[in-house]
Order: sequence, then C-alpha cells, then structure tokens
Amino acid sequence: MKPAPHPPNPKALTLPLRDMLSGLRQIGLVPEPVAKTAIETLPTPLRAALRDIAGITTEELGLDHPDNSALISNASRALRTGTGSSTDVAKASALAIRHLLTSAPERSALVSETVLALCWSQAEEISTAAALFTTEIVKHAPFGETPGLPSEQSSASASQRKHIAATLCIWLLAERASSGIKESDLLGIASTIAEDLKSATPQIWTTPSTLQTALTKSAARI
Amino acid sequence: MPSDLSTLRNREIPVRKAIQRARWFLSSFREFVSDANAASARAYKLDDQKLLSAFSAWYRSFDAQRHLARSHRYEFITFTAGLMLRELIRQAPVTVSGDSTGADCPEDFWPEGYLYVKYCLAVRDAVLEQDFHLHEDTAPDLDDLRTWWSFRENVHDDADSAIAFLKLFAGEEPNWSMPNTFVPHHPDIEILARTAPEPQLPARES
Repeated sequence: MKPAPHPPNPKALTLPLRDMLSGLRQIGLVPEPVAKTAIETLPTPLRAALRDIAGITTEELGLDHPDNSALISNASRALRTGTGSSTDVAKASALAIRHLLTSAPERSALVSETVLALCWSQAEEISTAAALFTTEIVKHAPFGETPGLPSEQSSASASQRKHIAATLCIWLLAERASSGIKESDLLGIASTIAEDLKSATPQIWTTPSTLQTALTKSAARI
Repeated sequence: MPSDLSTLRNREIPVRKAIQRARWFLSSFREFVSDANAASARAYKLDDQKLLSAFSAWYRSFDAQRHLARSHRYEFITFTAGLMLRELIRQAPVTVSGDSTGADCPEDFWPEGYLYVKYCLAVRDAVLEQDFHLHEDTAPDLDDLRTWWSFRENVHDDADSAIAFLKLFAGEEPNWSMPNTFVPHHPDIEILARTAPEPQLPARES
C-alpha cells in the first residue's frame, strides 16, 4: 500500500499560487467538485478571483469556445509578428496544451501559464520569435508534474516535449482568416504535421533561423 | 457516390493549391464521406487521425517529386492522385460495416476502396477542369468488377500498385513496373493539342 500523500509546505515552493492550486487539483487533494462547491459559497469578487487562479473557468470553456477566438487570434498574431501580449500567448498556449494532453496519459498534468508567459518573454521582439518560444518551452517544460507534489505520473520525455512545443507553435502560426474550421481541428492537423519534424535533422533544434523556417513552412501546409 | 467537391472548388485559391492544405483536404474528404453516407444505405465511418496521416505521407511523396512536373503537369496530376490513393489505402481512414460477399459491383465489392478511388478521381478531374479546361469521362475499367478483384489483391501485396491502378481508372496508360516513380511521356503542349476541339469551318453562304 502506498503511503498517503503529504501536502507540501507552500513556503518551500517557488511556484505561483495559480500553479500551486492547479497542482493540488491535479493530484486530487482538492477534487474539482469540492473546489467548485467551496468557491461558490464565497462572496462574488473573491469567488471570481479564485475561479480564475484555480483555472476552472478557462478549462471549462475549451479550445473551440467562441469566447476564446479573440484570445487565440491575438496569440497567433503575436507569434507571427514577434510582438504581443504575454498573457494572450500564455493563455492560448495553455488551452492548446491542455487539449493536446487530454488524450495523453498526462490527462490531469499541470500547465503553467506563468512559465509559458516567461518563455514568451524570452522570445518576444526577436525575428525568430516562434522558434525561440518553441525551444524555451522544450527547455522549461511548462506542463507535466507539479514540482514538490507526489505523483504517479511520469514526466513527458524530451521527444514528447518537442512534439507538443512544435505542435503548439505550428498551430499558432497557421492562417486563420476565413477558414471556418474549428481550432481543435487546426491543432489536430498541426500535431500530425509536427510529426515530420521528428525525422528532420537535429540541427533544426539548435539553429533558430532553421527552426523558424521549418515551423513557418509546416504552418503553411495547414 | 458524390464527386462535386464544392469545399475545394469554392475557394479563392485554385483546387491544385487548396488540396495541398491539410484543412481543405480534411474538409473536402469529410464532405465526401458525409455525401456518401447520405446517398448510401451503408455507414461510412471516418478516422480523422488516420486521414491526416495519409495527407502527411501524401504531401511528402508529392513534394519530393513535384520538381519533375514542369512541362508535364497533366501527367503529374494523375500521378499525384495515384500517390494520394496509395496513402489512403495504406492508412485506411474509412471503415464500412457490412459483408461484401456476393457483390456484383465495385462499390459493393470494396466500398472503402471505391470511395478512395472516387475521391482521388474527383480531385484530379477538378484540377484538370480548372487548369486545362478538360472534362474527363469515366474510364470503362472503373466499373469492371474483374479489374477491382485484381486491384484489391494487388494493393494488398504492394500498395504502390495503387498508383498504376489510378491511372487505369483515369483512362491513362499505367506504369506497372515502377508505379511510384514519375516518368513523363507527353508534354502538356502535346496533350492540349490532342484534346483541343477541331477548328470549325465557317458555314458557306449560299
């Protein structure tokens, strides 16, 4: 029998509150129905704030919800131009990563919008922003196990991280005007096309300009 | 079986370009399967993931040989449709429930294969119509059940033979020995000259 999990000391963690709450929900210490019920009993302003930082609202809406289309368009523009709000990029990226992980073993994996925003801040304002954002995501892995919390899940391999990061950026770089196609379909297409990068030479991951070209060409096939 | 492909035709970009984009390939194939379901008593089920894998494999093969097209685009269009048929057969994104024993027509004999062939021919015809102003007639082999027995057996042993069979179904001369290699024979200008209508002499005034 496995020992019961012990909640970590929050003071010992360097994670933002939002990630900590998501992490606690991930390992089931605070089941979602309990969290939702508890939050509903709070005064309205506090309820809205906690719903937001617990990530409940975002996850409920999903990738194809019309309320997310402006967010995704802004993030897409940011990746194509190298300029844009880190909040938009992080939120849209987190939505897509959660969607990608839904069918994977890491179903309830933590996705950190904070780390995603930091990854974007490293890439922003650079001509190869999409490539740098991709490699930053691979390096910092803003999804997977919550640090410091007990988990039975294994972390994503380097190859899985590369595939998810490439899929995300190919999806964001794709043209959206007048397509009439669902975001989840675009993401599914991006995931299939990103498979081709696995057979590409390893140098594409070390040369930003080469990776940028590969991502742009892949996005043009969507 | 449908053959209109309105999803591909009603774009601002030509069909030959639209089919190279995964989103239009996916949409048009879904439309094709949906129309097939509406027109048939069978239930055609589509696996999007397998379909996208077929697209990806097709695009790689197409991209590797597209430089050979140049002045032989007409022949390359049929060859490319054959590559698409090969990948659809390999990935098998469509499943149809039901028994094919006692079938007396190709559609009953192999419904999935028939749908793939019809889709590839529809794309080929749409490109030829747009780029060459040609309206292709169905080749007699398309409805010959004995050809379909051979087709199904051969592609089971060697998927590349699907490329040659597509040429046969399109009424062109198949390359049975090296079907997966594009070997041009007739430049476009020769084909266009052959298919151009006879000049009409003006009616003599009496």
